[in-house]
Amino acid sequence: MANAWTDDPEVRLMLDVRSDLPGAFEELVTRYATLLVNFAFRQVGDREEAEDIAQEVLVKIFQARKTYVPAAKLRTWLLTIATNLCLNRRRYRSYRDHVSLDSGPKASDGESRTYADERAEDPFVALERRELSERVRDAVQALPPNQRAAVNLLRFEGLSYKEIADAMGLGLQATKSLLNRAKENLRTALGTELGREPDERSPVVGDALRRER
Amino acid sequence: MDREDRLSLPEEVMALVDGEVDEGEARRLRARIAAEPSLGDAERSLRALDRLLGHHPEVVVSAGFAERVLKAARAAPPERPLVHRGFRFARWPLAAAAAAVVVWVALPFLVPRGEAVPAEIPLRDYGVLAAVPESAEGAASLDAAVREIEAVDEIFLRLS
Repeated sequence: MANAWTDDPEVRLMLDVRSDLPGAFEELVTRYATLLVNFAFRQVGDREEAEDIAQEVLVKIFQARKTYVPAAKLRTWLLTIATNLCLNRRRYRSYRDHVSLDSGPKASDGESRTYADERAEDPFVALERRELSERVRDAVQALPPNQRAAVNLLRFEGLSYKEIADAMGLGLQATKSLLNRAKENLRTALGTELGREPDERSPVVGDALRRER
Repeated sequence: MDREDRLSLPEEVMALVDGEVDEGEARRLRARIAAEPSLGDAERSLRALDRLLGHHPEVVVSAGFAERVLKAARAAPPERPLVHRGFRFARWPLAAAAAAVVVWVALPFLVPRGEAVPAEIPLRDYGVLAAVPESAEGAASLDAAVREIEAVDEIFLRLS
């Protein structure tokens, strides 16, 4: 069944999965694991839970492979499923935490988190980089889940407003308003950081951050 | 830009920063930003936020992740057709009452005139009467459903 999407290599990979081509699903898992785990991590703030969500997304698409019809970029489709799972899981968790008397706050993943960017060229740079990362992560985690999902899809996954609207089942204008509110909240939460340009940080960190620009 | 897409000014600046406006619109906005310092500040702040978000930590996927996924996928049953799972106890009273009313209205047309309506009307065959509630809330809803069916049942018997 050919359509406009069948020339897309990502979509072709999924079509191979649909046809049970040996190694196709393994290839898909390898290719999208990092994307899905990091998307979910930014959404839920916990690596273990993020891996559970990524696994659920991949298993779901494997289960549904026979009914797959290419209708969007594969990446967008996977992120749509991941967004819904993350938002539903959050809803379930807030309900569960509300009704369960013994459910305390979830333990932080603490040491279990591994930062990809942990190549400490200088301990001081590494420390400041880590602190900055933590502040950014905390600000993102403090957003309401739907605002977080919208920012996650826009800033980190590079989806367009239209793609975000489709992924979240919203109108275009509602998506823009959601993003605007999310960014306002982030600007408020990170106000002090926004006021500091790299030059105003310590010379070592300033240099390091400037190189990234 | 149609009415649906019309943005407020902060949203327009945000759309410019996010590369979501066409070239003509971008030119218009840049001119406006150049003329209004507060808009310039907003644009700089949004660009700074964008850079700052780039410092969000990333995680490395754990070593056994792919194997775990493959194992789980092979163990998972094939997807079944989506079943309607929203039909819970809370909706039973309404649905059961509606079904009873339909039967009540339709039965006179189905039973030949002049014949006595059987004393034992199979209204009690509704699944709701045999359902086993899973919770106190479910039991209350189920009781209500049963009472409604019995009430309709009684009216029907009286009329017949």
